[in-house]
Amino acid sequence: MPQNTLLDVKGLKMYYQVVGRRWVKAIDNVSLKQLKNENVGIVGESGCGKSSLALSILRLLPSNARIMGGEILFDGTNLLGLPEKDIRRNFRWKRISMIWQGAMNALNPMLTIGNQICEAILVHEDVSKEEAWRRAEELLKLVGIEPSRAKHYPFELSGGMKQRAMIAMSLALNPDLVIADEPTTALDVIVQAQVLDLIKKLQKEFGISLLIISHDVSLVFSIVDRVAVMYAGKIMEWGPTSEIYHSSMHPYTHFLMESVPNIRSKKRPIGFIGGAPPNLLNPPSGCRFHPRCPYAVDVCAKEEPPMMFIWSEHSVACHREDELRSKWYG
Amino acid sequence: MDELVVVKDLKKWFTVRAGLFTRRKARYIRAVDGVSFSIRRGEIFCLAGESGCGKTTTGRSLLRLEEPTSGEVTFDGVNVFALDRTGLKTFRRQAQIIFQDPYESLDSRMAVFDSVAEGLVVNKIGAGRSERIKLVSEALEEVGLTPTEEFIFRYPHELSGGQRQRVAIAAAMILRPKFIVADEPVSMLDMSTRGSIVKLLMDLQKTMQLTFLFITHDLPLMKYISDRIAIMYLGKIVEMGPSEELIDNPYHPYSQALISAVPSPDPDESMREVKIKGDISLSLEATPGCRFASRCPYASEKCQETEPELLEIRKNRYLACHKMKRH
Repeated sequence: MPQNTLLDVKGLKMYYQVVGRRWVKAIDNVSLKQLKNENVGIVGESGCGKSSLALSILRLLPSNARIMGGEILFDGTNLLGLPEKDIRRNFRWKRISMIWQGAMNALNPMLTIGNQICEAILVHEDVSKEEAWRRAEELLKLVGIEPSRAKHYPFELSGGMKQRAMIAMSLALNPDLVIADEPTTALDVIVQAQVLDLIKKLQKEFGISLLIISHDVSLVFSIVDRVAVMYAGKIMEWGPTSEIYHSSMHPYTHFLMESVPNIRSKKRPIGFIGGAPPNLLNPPSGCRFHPRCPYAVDVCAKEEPPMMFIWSEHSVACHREDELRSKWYG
Repeated sequence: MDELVVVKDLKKWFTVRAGLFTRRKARYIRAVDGVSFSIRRGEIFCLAGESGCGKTTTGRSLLRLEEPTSGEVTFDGVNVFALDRTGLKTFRRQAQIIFQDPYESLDSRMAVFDSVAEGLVVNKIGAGRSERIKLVSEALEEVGLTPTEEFIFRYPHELSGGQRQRVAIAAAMILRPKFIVADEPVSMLDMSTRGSIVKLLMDLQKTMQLTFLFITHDLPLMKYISDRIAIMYLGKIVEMGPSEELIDNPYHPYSQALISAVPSPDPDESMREVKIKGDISLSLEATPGCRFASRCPYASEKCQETEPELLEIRKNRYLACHKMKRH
């Protein structure tokens, strides 16, 4: 593996067991690579498996989840092969931290925000309580919260401030990778922009890599270098953000981009995709998108398309990629 | 084009209870504090702003789902706030609302038929079940839930988010209203289905000559579909005008900040810098001056002292700002 690869997910399969010994195929053969100092995004609709992917990387899966195959290499170590104790001590929070979905509600309401940050530091590092508190105050200052606020409880802070406190906490141990699952969904747009500015600034300062997971295409595309488009537990397309936006090759990505209005472009009709995402207890045969795809042909229902390279950085899983490419882009 | 809905100086204040044993005066949250606008027949009008700006309360007050503190709303020439019970019933047939969350707005124990037919029952339309089934089927067909036999006796949990929202739309449409208030009708839906619900609403608007009030924070979508837009901040309209024109060239410092904060999906367009600091803060005290002054990069003394009025500074462009008047 090249020196600069930070995260390398290879052929990951993760299923949830449900009543009747049946399996929900939440993540099915997903591969993804993230370089050091690079931001990667995962976009997809609800239930496509994007949050499950984050939980798999952090090894925080619920008890009914099972990894059925694949590897998650983090800086060369396969996280899936390590005992929980090792993950807890050496990886989670310390090297990989997370900003949760609706982070403002992920804070413990019974502890002051200063104490919560201290706790994270004290568990992992051998420092005095005073030193931890001093660092907590510093972190809060860094994210633009008055250090005196460390003594406040979450309910005393606004939504944007709680989100900032969460970011401060995720940075407490100076991690290499921050996974942000819907980091700004509950925030208003101005506060969202402030939080994004902050994330970008801190990232430059500390050399952190971000893995952003969201349904919000505009949000993800405005900050990441490369993006994976997930649908029904699979990655449909993977490549540099600009290419995915301007010259997507997968029909799902193509129609998804048409359904996203851009405030800075001219008025146009909004696109959509008929039907609804499939039930992953019993996913469609062949390509999982074929029942909703207007370009589907016989082979799409029979054979699963492999991930094909358009060039070394851009790959797509579609049987008709060649034809569609000439149809859309000449 | 004449006006279907005229709102004049609408106010809705919520009382914040003073302590049980204190003698402190009751205080108010001025959720809507003097809002005036009118919606033309056949128009798609949008109230936009961040959470807490009063857009939803405005929508609910003008349908009298919320009793207003003061102000006047006329609907098709009739004073809505003076209506008695029968008058209100007739009004509600003509003015319907669609909510954000189709998971909550439909009763989970009621089949699609019962949810959609409720308006018929209340208004005693349709004699007997068979006629109502016919009417409900027609309504389901209009919203694209076909074949209707497959949907009419299903329960909400058996439907996808998009289908549920279609049921909610059918329930609103079955009484043949003239006016629909749509409060964030697509924000809970997935990106790929959002467009289909938007298209349905636009198609219905054309075929049935509906007038729409959209309440949303989704400015990109509003640029694409609405005719006029009013931007609200802390209970006031700060700017109003034709949607595309206003979004491309906002005058009010708040609208400018709000619009520049919206990320673009095109990664080649760089993020714009957000110039304003802080967060919306609700104040319980009435303060003189412009409500945005404390966050405004251009605020002067005058802005702290006197509240700017919403004035037409150019044809169809309304602005409430002391600073940006000369455009």
